[in-house]
Amino acid sequence: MIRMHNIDEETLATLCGKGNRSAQELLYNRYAPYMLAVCLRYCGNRSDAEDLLQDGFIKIFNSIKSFSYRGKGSLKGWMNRVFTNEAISRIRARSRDIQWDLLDEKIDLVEEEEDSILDKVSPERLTELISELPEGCRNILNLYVFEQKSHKEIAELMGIAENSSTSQYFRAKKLLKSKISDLIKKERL
Amino acid sequence: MTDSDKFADRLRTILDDAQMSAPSDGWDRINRRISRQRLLKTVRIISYAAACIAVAAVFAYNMSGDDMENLYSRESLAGAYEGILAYSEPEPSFSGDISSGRQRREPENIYEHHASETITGTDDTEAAETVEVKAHEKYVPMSDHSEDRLTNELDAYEGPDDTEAARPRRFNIAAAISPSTVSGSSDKGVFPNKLFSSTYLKNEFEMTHSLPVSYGISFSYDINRYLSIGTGLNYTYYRSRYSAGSEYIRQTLHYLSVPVSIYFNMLDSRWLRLYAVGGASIDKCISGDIVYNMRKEGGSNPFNKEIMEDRFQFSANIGAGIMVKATEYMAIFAEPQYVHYFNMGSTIQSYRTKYTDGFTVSVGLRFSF
Repeated sequence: MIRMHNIDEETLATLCGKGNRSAQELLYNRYAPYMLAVCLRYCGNRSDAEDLLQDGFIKIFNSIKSFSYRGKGSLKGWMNRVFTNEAISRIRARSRDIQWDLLDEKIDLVEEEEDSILDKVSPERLTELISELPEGCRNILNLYVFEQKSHKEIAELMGIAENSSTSQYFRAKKLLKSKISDLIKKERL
Repeated sequence: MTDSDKFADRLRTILDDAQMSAPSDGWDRINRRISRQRLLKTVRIISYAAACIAVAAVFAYNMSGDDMENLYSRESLAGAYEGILAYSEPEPSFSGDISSGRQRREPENIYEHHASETITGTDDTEAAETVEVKAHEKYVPMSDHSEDRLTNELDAYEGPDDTEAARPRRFNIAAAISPSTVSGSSDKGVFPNKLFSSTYLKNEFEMTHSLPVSYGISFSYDINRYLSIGTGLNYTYYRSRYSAGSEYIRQTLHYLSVPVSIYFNMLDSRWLRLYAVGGASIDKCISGDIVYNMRKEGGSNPFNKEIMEDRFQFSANIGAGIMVKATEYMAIFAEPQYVHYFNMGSTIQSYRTKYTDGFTVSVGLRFSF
C-alpha cells in the first residue's frame, strides 16, 4: 500500500490521473488552502471563492493526465494556472456587468503611503482586503499584478479603454493602502 | 508593467504563499461531483454501445429481410406463369438438399413447393407426367416449351421491384470539407519540447487553437443495398497561437489522413439516403512550423522553426449521414460525426490534443458510377 502522506508531486499527479480517490483527496488537502487564497483574491466573497475552488479542482482532476512534471513546484504552478484561467474566464464572462463607478466608495486617500505598508498585515488578511475591493478595480489589480498583463491586454480582455485600466489600477492601489491603513488604526485602538 | 512599480512586485511576493483555511466539507462535495460525473460517463458509454447494437440489429434484420424478399419475389415470378414449375436438370440429391434448407437466390434454384396445387401444364399429358415424376423424385421436370418460356422471362427479369428504393450505384467518389466544432474535454496540451525554454519552463500558458478544417476525397463501394465500405485521403490544417505581453507565438500543422469507414444504409429512396457511418483514420503530420516573435522597442525579431510530429496518430469516428440525390449521378451529403483523437502521447500542442473528443460535420458532393 502506498503511504500517501509521503508521496511526491509527480507520483501524486500520476495517481490522480488514474482516478485514485485517495490521491485526489491528498491533492485537495495539500493544495486547497493555497488555491482558496488565489480564488478569494479574484472573488468578492468567500462563497464565490469556494465555488471556484470546487470547479477548479474538478477541472484539474479531469485534465491532470495531460500534466507533465518538470521539477519541484511545477504541479503547484500548473494548478495555479488552471485556477487563474478559470477565474479569468469568469471575469471575461462578467466583464459587461461590472460596475465601473468611481464614486461608489469614499477613498481616504493615502497618496504618499509607502509600499512598505503591505508588510504590516498578514498575507491572509491582505488577501481578504483585496477580495473586499470593488469588482472592477479588483479584477484589474489581479490581472496586472499577478497575471502580469499589460494595461493594453487588460483593456482588450475587459472591453474597456487602456487608460481606464490604468486609472482603475491606481484606484485599486489607493483603496488597498487605505484599507490597510484603516485596519492598522483599528488594531492600535 | 513598469520597473518602478514596486507595489506590484511587493504584493506578488507577499501573497506568493498565502493560504486560507479550506472548507471542511470541500473534499466531500468534490467527491460527490466526481462520482456523479463518472456515473454520467458510464451512462453515456452504455448509450453509445446500445446505439451501435441497435444499428447493427436493424442492419442484420434488414439483411435477412432482403434475402427472403428476393427469394420470394423470384419464386413468385416463376410461379406466376402457366406451365412453369421448375427448370433445373433432374439431379435428385441436389434437389433434396435445397428443398429442406434455405434456397439460394439464383434463378436456377427456383423450385416449386406446391406442385399439386400449381401444376397447370400445357396439356394433360405433360401435367400427368410431371406429377408422376414429382411423386417419386421431389422435383418437377419441365417441358421443352415451358423451359423456353422461362428462359425468355428470366432474360427479361431485372430483379426484385426496386422502383421505390432506387438501387445504389456500385462505386462512389466524394469530395468533402469538414469544419470541426468544439465539444468534450479540454485537456491541456504540451508545448514543443524545449523550443523556447524560458516560456516553456514556466509551464503556465495555453495556446488558443483555431477550428481545424479538413479537405478530402473519398471512395466508397456499395457491397449491397445496406452496407458500403470506403476509404480516402484527407488533408487537415491546424493553427494555434499564443500571446502574452510582448511574446507572440503562431503554430501551424499540416496533417494527411487515411480514413476507413463503414456505412449502414438505413433509408434509401429515390432522392434521399439516410445512413450511419463509423470508422477510423490514420493521421500523420507531414509538416509544421512555429513562429516566435518578441516585440521590442524599435521593431520585432521573429524566429521561425520547423516542427514535426514523427509518430502516427489515430482517430475514431461514429455518426450519421444524410445524402440528397440531386441528379442520378450526383448527391450532396452531410455527415455529423463524433470524433475521438488518439494522439499517442504527442508532445505538440494542437487542437486535437486540447479537444480529444468533439464533433465534426463533413459536407460535400458524392458522385456515383
